[in-house]
Amino acid sequence: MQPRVWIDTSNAIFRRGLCGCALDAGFAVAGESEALTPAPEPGRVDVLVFDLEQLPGVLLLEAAADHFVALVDAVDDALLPTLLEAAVDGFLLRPQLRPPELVRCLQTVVSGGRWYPAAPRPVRPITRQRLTPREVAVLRLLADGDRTTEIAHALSYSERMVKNIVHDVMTKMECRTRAQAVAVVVREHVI
Amino acid sequence: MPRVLIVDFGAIARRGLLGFLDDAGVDVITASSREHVVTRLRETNADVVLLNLDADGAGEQAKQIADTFPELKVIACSSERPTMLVVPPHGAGSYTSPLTSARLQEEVGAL
Repeated sequence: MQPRVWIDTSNAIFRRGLCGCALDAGFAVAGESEALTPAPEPGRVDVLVFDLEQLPGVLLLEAAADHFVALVDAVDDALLPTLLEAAVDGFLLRPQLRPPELVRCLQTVVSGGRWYPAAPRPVRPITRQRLTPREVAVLRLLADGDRTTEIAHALSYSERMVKNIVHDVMTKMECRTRAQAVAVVVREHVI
Repeated sequence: MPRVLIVDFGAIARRGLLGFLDDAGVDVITASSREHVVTRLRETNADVVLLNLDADGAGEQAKQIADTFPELKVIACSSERPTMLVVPPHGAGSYTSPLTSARLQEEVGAL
């Protein structure tokens, strides 16, 4: 039988997204709720995913689920002892969460494992080796404040090509904006 | 069929929005980043644009887009807090609303 997940989180869009990703990965969604309303039915849920703020309420639920995963906004010193004491099987950092990590976490806790990711850095370290010379050249000009047209002219590329290169770099570096990509490569002395 | 342009949400929030919009039976198009919104709006003739309210300056951008495209309905919704900002077409003034599945579908569907 497919493992059954219950999603409790306060934002309707994020909640629907978590349910969708779980379904896509072959889980069944037993239900969803906001601030534990409606409460998950005992015996019907394999994994309960919940906002950390709801932990006191979750602890009061009797046999609501076999496994528990908390959604947290940040990792601080108090988090791990709190989660361990409450026998929470795993946690996920809401701001950085991507579907593959959600799925691996659910699969791990369902099979009895624990998902306590190491405190992540805001952006994965990017080394010169991971960027191509072409990407580095474009980033240098971006850091100089050049616009797409100027970069295209300077490197004899089409504007479309420059945009594609920038897009690839941002994807590779998991950056949301050009400014963030420039900040990261400067900070890490790539350019 | 109304056309909705989705801009700049994380993968999980985007999955959620696509679920809602699919239920609402609307035609969904996407823009790869905030810088491309205006270009995509010109290309696609969308009826509604959904922006990410959690992004810096999203409220400001929503109003600018509404000024540029008076026929368009602009909705900026958070994927963290239960809030959304709605700027209806034709300069009818903006308002914030609690973000629930029903309210979101209502706002997108009511054109």
